[in-house]
Amino acid sequence: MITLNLNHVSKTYSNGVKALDDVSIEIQSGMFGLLGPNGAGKSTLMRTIATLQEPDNGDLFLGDINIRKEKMELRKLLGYLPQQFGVYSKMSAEKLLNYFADLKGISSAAEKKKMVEYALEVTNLTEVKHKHVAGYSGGMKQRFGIAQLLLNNPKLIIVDEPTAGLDPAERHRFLNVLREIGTNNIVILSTHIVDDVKELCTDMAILNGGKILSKMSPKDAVQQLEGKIWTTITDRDGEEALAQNFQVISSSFNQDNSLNVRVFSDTKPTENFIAAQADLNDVYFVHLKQDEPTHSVNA
Amino acid sequence: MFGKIFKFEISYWLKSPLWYSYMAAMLIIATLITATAVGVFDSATVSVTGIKKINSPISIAGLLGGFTFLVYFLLPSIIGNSIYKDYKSEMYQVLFSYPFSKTDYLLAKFLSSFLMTLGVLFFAVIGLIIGCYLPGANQDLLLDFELLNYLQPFVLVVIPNLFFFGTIVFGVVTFSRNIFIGFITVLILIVLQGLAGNYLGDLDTKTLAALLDPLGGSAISYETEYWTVEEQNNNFIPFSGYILYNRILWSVISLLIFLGVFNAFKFHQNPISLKIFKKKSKRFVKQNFGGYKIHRTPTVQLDFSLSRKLKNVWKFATFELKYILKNWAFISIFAVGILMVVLVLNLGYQIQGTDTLPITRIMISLSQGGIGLFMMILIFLFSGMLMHRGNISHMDQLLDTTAQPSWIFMTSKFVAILQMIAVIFLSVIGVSIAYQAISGFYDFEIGLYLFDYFFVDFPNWIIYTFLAFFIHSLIKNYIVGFITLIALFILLQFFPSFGIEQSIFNFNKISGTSYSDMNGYGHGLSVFYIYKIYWGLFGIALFVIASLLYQRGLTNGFKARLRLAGKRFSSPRKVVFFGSLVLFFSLGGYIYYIDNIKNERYSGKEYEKGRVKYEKEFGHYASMKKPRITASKIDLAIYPETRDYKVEGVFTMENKTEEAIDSIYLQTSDDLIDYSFSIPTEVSLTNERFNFEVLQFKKSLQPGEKITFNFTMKNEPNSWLRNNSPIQYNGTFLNNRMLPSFGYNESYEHSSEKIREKYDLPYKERMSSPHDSTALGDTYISSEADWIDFEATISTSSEQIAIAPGYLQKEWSENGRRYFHYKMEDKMLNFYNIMSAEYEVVSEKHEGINLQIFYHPGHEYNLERMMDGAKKSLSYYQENFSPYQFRQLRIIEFPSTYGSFAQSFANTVPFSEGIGFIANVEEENDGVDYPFTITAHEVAHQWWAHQVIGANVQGSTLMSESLSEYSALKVLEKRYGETKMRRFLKDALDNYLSGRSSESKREQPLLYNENKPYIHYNKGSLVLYALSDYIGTKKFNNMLADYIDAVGFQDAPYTTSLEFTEHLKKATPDSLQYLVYDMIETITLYNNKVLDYEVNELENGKYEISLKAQVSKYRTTDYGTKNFENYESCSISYSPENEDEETAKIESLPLKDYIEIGIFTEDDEENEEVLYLKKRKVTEIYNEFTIVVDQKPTEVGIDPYNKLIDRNSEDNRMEVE
Repeated sequence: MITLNLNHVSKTYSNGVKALDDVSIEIQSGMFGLLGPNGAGKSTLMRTIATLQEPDNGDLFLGDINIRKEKMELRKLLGYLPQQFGVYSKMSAEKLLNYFADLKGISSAAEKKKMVEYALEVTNLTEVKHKHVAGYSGGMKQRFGIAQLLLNNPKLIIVDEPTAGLDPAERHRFLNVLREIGTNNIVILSTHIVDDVKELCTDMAILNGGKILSKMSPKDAVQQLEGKIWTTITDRDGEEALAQNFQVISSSFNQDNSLNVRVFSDTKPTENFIAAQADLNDVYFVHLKQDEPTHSVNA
Repeated sequence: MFGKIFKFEISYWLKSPLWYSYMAAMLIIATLITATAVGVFDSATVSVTGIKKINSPISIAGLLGGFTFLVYFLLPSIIGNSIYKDYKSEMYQVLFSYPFSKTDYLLAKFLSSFLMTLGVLFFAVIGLIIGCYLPGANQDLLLDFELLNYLQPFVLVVIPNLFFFGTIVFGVVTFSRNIFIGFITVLILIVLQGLAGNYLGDLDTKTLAALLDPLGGSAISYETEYWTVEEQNNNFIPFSGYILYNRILWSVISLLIFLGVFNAFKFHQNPISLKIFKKKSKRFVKQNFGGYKIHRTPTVQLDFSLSRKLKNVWKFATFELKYILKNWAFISIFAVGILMVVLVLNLGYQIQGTDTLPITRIMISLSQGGIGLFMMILIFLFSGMLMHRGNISHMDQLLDTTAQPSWIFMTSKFVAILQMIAVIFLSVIGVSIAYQAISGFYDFEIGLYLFDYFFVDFPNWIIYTFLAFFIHSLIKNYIVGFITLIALFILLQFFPSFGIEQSIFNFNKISGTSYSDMNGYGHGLSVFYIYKIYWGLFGIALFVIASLLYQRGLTNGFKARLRLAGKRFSSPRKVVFFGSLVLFFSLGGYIYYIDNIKNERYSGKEYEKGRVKYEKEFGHYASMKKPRITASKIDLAIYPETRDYKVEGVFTMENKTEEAIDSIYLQTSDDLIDYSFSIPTEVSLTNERFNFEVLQFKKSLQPGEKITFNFTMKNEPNSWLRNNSPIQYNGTFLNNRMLPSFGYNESYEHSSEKIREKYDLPYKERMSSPHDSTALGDTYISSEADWIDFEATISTSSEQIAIAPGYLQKEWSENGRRYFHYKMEDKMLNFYNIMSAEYEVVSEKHEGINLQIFYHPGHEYNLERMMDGAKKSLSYYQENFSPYQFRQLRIIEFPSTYGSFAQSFANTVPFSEGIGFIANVEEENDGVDYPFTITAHEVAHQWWAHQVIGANVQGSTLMSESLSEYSALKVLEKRYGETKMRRFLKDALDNYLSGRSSESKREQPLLYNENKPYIHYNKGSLVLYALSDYIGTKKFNNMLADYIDAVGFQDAPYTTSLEFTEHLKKATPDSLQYLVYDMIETITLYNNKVLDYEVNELENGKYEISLKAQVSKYRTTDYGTKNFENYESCSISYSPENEDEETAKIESLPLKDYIEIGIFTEDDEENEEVLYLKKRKVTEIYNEFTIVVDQKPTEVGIDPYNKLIDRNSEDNRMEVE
């Protein structure tokens, strides 16, 4: 079993944005969900692990491999799917995969053939393997991204927002593939969709403003909130009033323009509230809210 | 709305660093070029002189035209970008939904970007002005500042041309939404325009070219073609005639293009695409919703061993190559390049409008010239496209996280470029061979093709590829990188003008690879490879830097990349980098040592100053009396295998003066290892810088006394880097200039007036006047001798034949070498050649004279024509002038590396392999049989130089070159008939007229010509032919015979052009004396033209023609000012009716001239037949002639054969409709 260790990793961009702020984390085999809003630093963190970006400070280790110094060693074990990518034009999936297989070091022609077939099959691209990848739809291209990732039997898989743009069936298929790989390897999955993590991940962290806000298993996280989530129905003015006094996690409109408000509280806030089943969304929002500057609560 | 968009766009550009960098680049380039042209760098380089002003409207138009060319390449990124950026940023989806009209949008976009482009060029103008006023600018090359001189070309050339290219680029980028396509379009347009210009540049299509050139350059050169220097300096570009039509035509076309773009433009989503094969539309239905079946993951072995990596380099290179070959940018540039090669091959290598046989050597030099530019474009472009390929297609993150080291990517991309070069080479070779086959020429030299392309041309491109990778590694945007490379390449060409002359400082300078059928690559190849290795090492160092900077992952800013590069600088890279640099500097140091320290080297500037020093310090030796050589006997050993020679010689010298001579000036050389005089001498001065010694005779040499001078010469050994010998492997061609000579070398003095002024040297006539009776002591061939006895023994390798003037006395072999003993039985000039090569010989006997041609085996193509030329000319000259003084005439081929010319020595005519031997004379296709004509010219020199030789004064080439050319014309006339002479006369006229418009000093009349080819060949032959025609050939030739009789083989004082003209005048009737004055003594030009004609069929079946023609003539001064007044200040003028008097007034010198009037018809085969041809006396400018002829005329003309010098020879004839 291999572990990924990040120690005090920091990165500040030239425009002053602190993308990673002293991140230290240990990641074990299995699916690891990295949850965070847009601009939280997820992609920076993943690119840093994937050797695409140098941190300003800190060390990263995959087992014995010092990632900053032994990039090539890490890359041999890496499968990476960036958030956005393009492909060489006028090339079919099969040809491109063969090229990637070469790049990833597969030397035997027979093994290469088998592996490419497997990758196509798994990602359900076999039928369109002769079509130009550049002409694929968003979802197909995303699947191609997975296919190329699989080729070298990676030990560390990093997938950046992979489910964005997939239809439900593909998303399902995709998550299954990941689950399969994740049994023996480290899979880091970044997303802002809480359901992805809920369905798959054995472990997760919430990232915002370059900082890890929490790291725990989704199960434990939900359990921690058990009995502390309350909900009520109110109107717009009512919601504002509630926000003055309680920690409102989320609110959503009903069809009759009334509002469902969820509140985080150790005790029942008022008589109008009823207890609600905590879920991962609550975990996510609770951590984000807690990280906000204090004015949001009791301003 | 227009105003808002326009303002927004302008402020966008004003904030854009790109625009400022274009501007700065333009400013710098323009300043540098101008500064170079006006001699700002004179302190470091050879002084720039000339009589053309740099800031005249014509010069400025030329320079600005060049700068505009550079800007065409920038257009896509300025004008193209104005709309493209809305697409790129996806703004268009928002923008197009805003409420502004198409007119507002397009006009504002176009006009704003067009204005900004003009802004870039405006800075070129500023650079032009600054360059002229930098300290050190030579004011002689400048006119006073005149804003209009800059403004006129700007308005006439720059604005319309940019408008034309701008509209096209605007349209292409707007519709394709791809700047790159705009860029390729510009490239293709420029190439096509250049090609069209080349093809239409012929005489007959000049006017068409003047109209059709979208850039107007052809129109300007057409209208100003025969302008004299004075006109070029002082006149504005005429805004009339073809220039006017051209500018209007292309402005209208540009406007139409813009309107077309405007009409087709729609605010919608999809770019216009051209699909040749439309795919059937198909409904796409997603299937396979089924669940996920778990597959067992196959196992794979990952191999990252070095051998695998090396295999991968080739594999990935091929992968990248496929991308290049399928890329339509490659396909289109490649296609245009191949088209260019085909056109260049088809245009061929012409001499006197006659094709050369498609021998492989010529095919290679033509095709390499044709493909070169495209090769460079493709390398510069695709190096960048490959380097940034991942980035361009956004696949970089996938590639960058694979476990392949960066050097694999870099090297495979580099190899891919080399593969691309190989593909192009093979295609070009294929095309060349196909062209040879189609031309019915089957002597393919495949080995030569492959060697020259892959082992000679390839290294050049490899080195440029290194440079390209380096530059592209510095610059993220590959288009900017490409433009930078082109700019850098242009800048590199300027290094020599900045005083950087040595090849070790000039990147990838190519030297010494010219190939000759006879001599192969000669000794140049070893030097070539040394320099290629030298620059190759530098290239490798650049490549290592490029690999350090190779973009992998996301790095922000150049600083971060540098930091990363530092980390990447691993030991193997250090070894390669420092290893190649150490070798580079060692080799460079070694070359520097050899060229500058071990051997003396003078820069152009030092050389220029040295000449001043020589004159100032030793000029007084010019007046030293010297004994003259009367006999020369040499014993020369040639060793072709090692390219060495050794010569022992004896000169017999005689004091022909009337005074005693006490000392002698001896010009030595490094090769002169030993010498002695037959009387005791003492060295009184030795100068090593200028290689001479002055020796004192212990006892003065008395008048009439003879001495001998013995000498031994031997070359220093040749090395890989340095050639110290004039001997070739096959095809040595030496002349007596390599031997020691006597007397102060006056020709080493500066002749340029400006340079003389600059260094305070006294004013000097470039040549003495023929009126100066003290200057007639030397012939213009030799200042050391009159006529000499000559004898030579030459040895060479056993395969070669050695030849010198004289008759072969004996030939024998000894120690595996061949010996030839030649002796001249008659006296000859002190001017002889020695040749040695593996020859085949063809011999004939004609009128008792032995004719031989020594030729390179394989070059049999035109031997008969040359032999025929020799026979016909010998017959004509013997019959008309005087007997041939020898009983033998030999034509000897020599390698083209010496040049493409033929030369005449006593009974020997060296003839370059580049001319004549490989001519493809197709007379039915208007080809000139120049193997014949050149032979006739050279044989004529046996009379005109080797019998009659002028003194070393102005005008003497009239008696050698002009008369030889005249003689050749007469042989041609005898062969083809008088009526076929127009072609030759018109060629001579055109060459004379264009020669005088590029005269760098001042034009002299033929009588005082100072060795100007356009005067003594072109004007001379035309004028002498015309005189013989007016006076009568028989009379003229008799005059020549008398002249030979009077001055042939004379001793000093030698004859002059004045004496010749006296003979001519005596033979000329009074009524025609004006011709001698007009043609020989002054520069006189006619302006004759047919104005109109009328043809009436008479009752007796004859035709009456009434011909209206204009005759006028003027003289010009040295610098080309027209003068219509004769010595009595008389002139005549004529104003056509119904026209504005001032502008239409025609002036002329007073006329009493005889002008030929001709009426012509055609026979069934469209051959011209003369119906009427007479010289009629003309006294008026406007003339009407009435002539009755028997047949229906097809053409009428005044001076129809162009016998007279006429600025416009096109309007002398008019076709009868």
